[in-house]
Amino acid sequence: MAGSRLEKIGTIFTRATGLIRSKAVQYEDRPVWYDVYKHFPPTLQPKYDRPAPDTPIRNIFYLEDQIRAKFHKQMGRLLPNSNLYDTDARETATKRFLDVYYKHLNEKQMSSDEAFQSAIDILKAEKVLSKPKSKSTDASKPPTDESILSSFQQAKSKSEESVEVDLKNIFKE
Amino acid sequence: METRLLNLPIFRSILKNVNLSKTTCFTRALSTQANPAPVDAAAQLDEVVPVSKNPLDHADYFHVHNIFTVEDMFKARVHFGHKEGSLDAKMKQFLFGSRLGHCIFDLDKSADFLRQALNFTAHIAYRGGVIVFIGQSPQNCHLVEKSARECGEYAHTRAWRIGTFTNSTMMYGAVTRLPDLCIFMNTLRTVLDEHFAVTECAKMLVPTVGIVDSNCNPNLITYPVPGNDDSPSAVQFYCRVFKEAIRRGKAERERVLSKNNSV
Repeated sequence: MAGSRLEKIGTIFTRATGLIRSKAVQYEDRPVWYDVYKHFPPTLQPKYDRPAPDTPIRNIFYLEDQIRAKFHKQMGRLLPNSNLYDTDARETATKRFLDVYYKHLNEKQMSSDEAFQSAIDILKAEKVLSKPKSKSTDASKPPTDESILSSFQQAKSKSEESVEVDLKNIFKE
Repeated sequence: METRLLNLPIFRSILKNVNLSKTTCFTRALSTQANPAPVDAAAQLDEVVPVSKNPLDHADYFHVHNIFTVEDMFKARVHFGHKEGSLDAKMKQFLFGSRLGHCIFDLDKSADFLRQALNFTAHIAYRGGVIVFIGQSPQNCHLVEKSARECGEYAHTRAWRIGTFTNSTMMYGAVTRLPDLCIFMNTLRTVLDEHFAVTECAKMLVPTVGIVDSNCNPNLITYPVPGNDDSPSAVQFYCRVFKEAIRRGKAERERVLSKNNSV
């Protein structure tokens, strides 16, 4: 479309309005978006030099962060992975741990160290902390005691079985 | 809905920060749906004043506010930004805070911006505009193209040749109609550089809707949506909501056209 290509001056709306006002574009030929923009202007003007308000960034901390940090420090690599495709917001091991911990702390009146240890024990018993099984040790395949050598020999004996192909007449019907 | 929301970890926990008033943070609206714009007195007299048939006279004609909830955004991990080191100063205003060095978006604000963007998209679709999905992250390329195809629109997710819009006549060998809206799934080309199409759209008076992450510059995007643009779940979420908005706009267009033809 004809128009000023200086994208750093004004907004697309002001530039389009300028074109219409100067009759470079007839009002009937205005862009499809023009009326929509006019009725629903964006909250922030889409200007190249729009100054950024000086908003302070606050830190997000929670009361249970100390206990969470302690848990992570102790567990380290025992914590399971989370699937980034999974949008079900399944509860993480840390979340489960905190639930159990606070339950013990508040309901069973344990000391914080006792509650911490018992929560870890419960999570270990629930196998929350063990890493998820890899696909090769899937439950669908029963574990076999085959060594590499035996499987190699099996494969070799299989390949040595005579395959009955009549090569001479392979293209004949 | 509110009780379910309160079960989410971010809402359950108590914010420990003396610098800000605690109550304002977690007793906020917890909005799962946008509050409809306040209706003025004249519009309330429905019996007297007939409701306008022009979709532009309605605050939310296509009901885009119910396409998603803030909870959906939270589950799709829209609130995760990059680390503070790569933060663009212009994105500070959209942040909720920093969690151990990672920027976290304020989903209430993001939801507001996303609804504006969806409303605009639906109106453009209703008016028969050409919509192009643009993105340049290889892992989301096929997803974006598939979504565009499903709603009968276009996508450009490959390397951008400079001048595709600004020099389109030479590029395509004929006068070319440019799109009426570009939806950016990602406004960055590499980790540092902005996508060329952002500037080209601004030059050619093409409005843009764009997901801006914490390391992006939102200024040239007409309807910026602050949010995570990297996670697959987040991109799936954006594709879903924009597809739905376009579908609603087109369905309404079909309805109105068939009604007018039959009369």
